[in-house]
Amino acid sequence: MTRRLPLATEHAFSHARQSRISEVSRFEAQLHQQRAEKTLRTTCTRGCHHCCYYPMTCSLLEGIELHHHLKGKGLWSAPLQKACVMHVGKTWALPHPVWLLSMIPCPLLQEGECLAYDARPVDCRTIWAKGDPHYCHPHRFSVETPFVDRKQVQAEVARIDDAALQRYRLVYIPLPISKALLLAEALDRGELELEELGAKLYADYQKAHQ
Amino acid sequence: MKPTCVVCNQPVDIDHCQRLPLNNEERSVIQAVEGVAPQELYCCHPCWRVLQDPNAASQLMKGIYQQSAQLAGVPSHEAERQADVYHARLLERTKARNT
Repeated sequence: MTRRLPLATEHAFSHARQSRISEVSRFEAQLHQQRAEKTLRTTCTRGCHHCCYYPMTCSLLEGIELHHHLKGKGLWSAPLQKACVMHVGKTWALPHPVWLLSMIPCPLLQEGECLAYDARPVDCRTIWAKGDPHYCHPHRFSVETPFVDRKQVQAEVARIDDAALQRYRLVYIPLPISKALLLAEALDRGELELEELGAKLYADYQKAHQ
Repeated sequence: MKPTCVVCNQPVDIDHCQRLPLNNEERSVIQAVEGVAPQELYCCHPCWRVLQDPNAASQLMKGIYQQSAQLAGVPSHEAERQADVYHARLLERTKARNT
């Protein structure tokens, strides 16, 4: 059973979720149209998971939704939680170029597929390769690895989540997916309150550098 | 000038980072390449945590090798082949040291 947040909070978060979904849908519709008009060719295929080693991040709100999804499907387990702890241990506060080259798999990557593909964060949902997927491998990453431009949708989603979080004196911070999931779990278990999150994140960040 | 992390090149606070003293052999290699060798190197804690993980550390070193080779103009398939050899040697040496 998932702990429910106060009604006003649930409402604000649900509103942000809807706005986020419509932004991503708009992005996907545009992509679909460009593909149909043959002005764009994307090369991602099922089974390819090079981008599951990339420094993918999500907002706290996305983490809460992802956690809710995993829990609802009975996929949030002790081994997954342990994998998240291990992942955070390596990626928290880690500069992204180092993260990319270290080939640290996303904790949701299991047997070459995403455990929560339908509920994956915007960062994962909007990454589309335009070139040879061979060059998407983190070690082969170069100018030969073009992606569909997604800056606009990312900025818009960040603005939406930031507005929802500001009510709780929180700001939008891109978190490793594992960190967002563990924070969502702590919120769900009542070990942490939303209002305490800013201070907790700051303390965790400081701790990572000491 | 503030010292930087040997992995990510970000500035580090030497009181809050991993200090890596260099032995004579290491110093002479750096001296030969860069003309001057420091007494020690520094590594920030986030990067240090990656270096302590055998899988992530070896992949990172392989990745840096491959990317550097590519940047130096080595064709990507050749850079990958060399990086694979380097990675295999790295694992062999580590295994030999630990047995």
